[in-house]
Amino acid sequence: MVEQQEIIAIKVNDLLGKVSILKADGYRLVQICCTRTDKLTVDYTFDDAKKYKFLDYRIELPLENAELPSITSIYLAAFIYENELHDLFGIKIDGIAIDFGGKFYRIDEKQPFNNPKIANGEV
Amino acid sequence: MSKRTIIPFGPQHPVLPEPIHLDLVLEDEVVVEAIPNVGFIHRGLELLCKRKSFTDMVLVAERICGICSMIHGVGFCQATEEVMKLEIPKRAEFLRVFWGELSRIHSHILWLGLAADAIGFESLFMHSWRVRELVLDIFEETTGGRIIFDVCKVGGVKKDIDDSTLQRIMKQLTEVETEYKKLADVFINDYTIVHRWANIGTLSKEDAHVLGAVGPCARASGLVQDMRQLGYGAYKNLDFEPVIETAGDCYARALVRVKEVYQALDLMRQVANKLPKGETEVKVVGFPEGEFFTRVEQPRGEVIYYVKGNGTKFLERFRVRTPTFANIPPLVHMLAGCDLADVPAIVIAIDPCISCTER
Amino acid sequence: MSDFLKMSKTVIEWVCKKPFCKMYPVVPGKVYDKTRGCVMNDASKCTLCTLCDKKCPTGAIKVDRTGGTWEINHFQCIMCNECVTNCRPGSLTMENKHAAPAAKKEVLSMNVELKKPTPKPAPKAEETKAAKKTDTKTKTKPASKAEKKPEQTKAKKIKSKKDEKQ
Repeated sequence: MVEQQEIIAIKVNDLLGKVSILKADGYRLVQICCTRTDKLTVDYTFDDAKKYKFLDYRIELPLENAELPSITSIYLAAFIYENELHDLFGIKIDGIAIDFGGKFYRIDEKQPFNNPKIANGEV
Repeated sequence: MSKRTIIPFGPQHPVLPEPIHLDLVLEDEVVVEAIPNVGFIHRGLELLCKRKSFTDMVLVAERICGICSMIHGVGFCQATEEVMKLEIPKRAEFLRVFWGELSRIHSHILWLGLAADAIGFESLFMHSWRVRELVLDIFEETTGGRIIFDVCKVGGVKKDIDDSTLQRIMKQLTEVETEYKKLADVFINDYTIVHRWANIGTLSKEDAHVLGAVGPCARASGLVQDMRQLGYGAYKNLDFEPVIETAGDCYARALVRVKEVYQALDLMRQVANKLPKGETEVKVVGFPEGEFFTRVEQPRGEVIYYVKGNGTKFLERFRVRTPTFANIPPLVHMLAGCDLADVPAIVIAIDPCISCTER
Repeated sequence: MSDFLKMSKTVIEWVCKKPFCKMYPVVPGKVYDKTRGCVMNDASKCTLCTLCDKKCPTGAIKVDRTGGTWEINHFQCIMCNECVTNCRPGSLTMENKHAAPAAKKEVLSMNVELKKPTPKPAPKAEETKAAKKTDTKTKTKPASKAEKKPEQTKAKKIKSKKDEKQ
């Protein structure tokens, strides 16, 4: 094993609270990632700068009409990840500090990664 | 109240190696804010994991970017090997580090050339790329390709370096180092370069931490952050210290990259001395099932790979978050308050690799 | 003052030296043994097993077993070496020279004649048949009659072998 990886499942309502505790402890945001299986799984990855400790919060959302609160009020750098989630997966995130309104990636297809045909390799 | 104008920067600009668009809001030649716009090279490579088997995805991962190609291959292979609980031979780990550090030297010398071109110092740009050709010859001799190496596979490496070739390459590297020293001297001490880059685009340590800066951008602001300290691959057997500067301006970022080339040459010498004998690959049996995040240090910073397998030969999800993607918020912060004439120098200082950013 | 002239030493050194750039394509590019240039097939060794077609990640190789053709699109090939590593008869090689540039994307097509499985004595019998046919024309009747007999027996032997195979 390269490093110990801690993946903790949390609920949407607890997200802002837990993230602000991490900010106070000095963690930095590494990435926000989403996986589409039979549901949407959003991973918020954080890293403790001094010890390179890896921590991941996992939220599960339904495939359609998924909604999340924005963490740009705590970590401004999250705006790029949240715009990407909105463009590729169609998740509605309210309160993004710099909101591109769906034009972050200039793509023709709406939410290509959440489209069952494209995402399953049929097209 | 002075009038505000909006000037588009990019997607085509002489200083940019790849297209990125910035809308610069100006008040009389001082940039007030910058709005980034990416998406010109979005190819949707992450979705290819559903159509290409996981052994073929190494080829796709290597082709996300031309400059950082080797380490993308290493990261993907490492993530898949951790999911499948494969232990690769020691010789393969050391060879991956050898080629990875050579790739870092190549990337930094390429950047030094582009940065010199950005301030108009064309002869320095040409000489940097002349030294880079010596490094590319070593790549072609050992892997068969100048830019895309095709040397990583799930389970080890495809090619081997025998002892006589290794000794010859180490001699070639001393020649590279002699040539490189002359250039490094110019980058560190030349009056024009210091004047153009000092105190431009300053990023303080707290801002770098809060905005999530990675790589030489973070290390130039005093943050000690180098993913090689995690000890993946053969790095746990090698001795090195991250290169740190505290000034946080463009000159400090250039200094970090100049010194990292010397560090990479030292690491390669350690690898050549400690290279163990043995096999270079392990047979891959079965399909990946499970998930793993792996973090690797690219020349531009920390890159994180997420691989999720579901027991078939096609992966469920392959996600890459590259360092330039994480360096865009610090870039937007640095551009606020600078002069219009300094915008190219600041943009090139974060080492933008936009094909990595929007795979 | 010396800070201004840091680069001058390198500049003067290279003004006096031969230029580093080579006059390509007049001077050919440097290649090494391991250089991955382009994939070539040896039609005499190829057995049209289609393994290279299946392993190719870009679909640059197309093999037609019924038509007897092996095609490669050099412009689509990414020189990953999968076909060469998996080639069973060993007919594919990675040349170290790159494929020539062209104005249009062309497909290199070659006809591969599969060797039909024939028993070893057969060529000898055919040769002797041909030799004896020419001989029978010139020789007298009794000699020709005597020679016909061994031919017939040999022809029968061939037939029986074929029957065994079927």
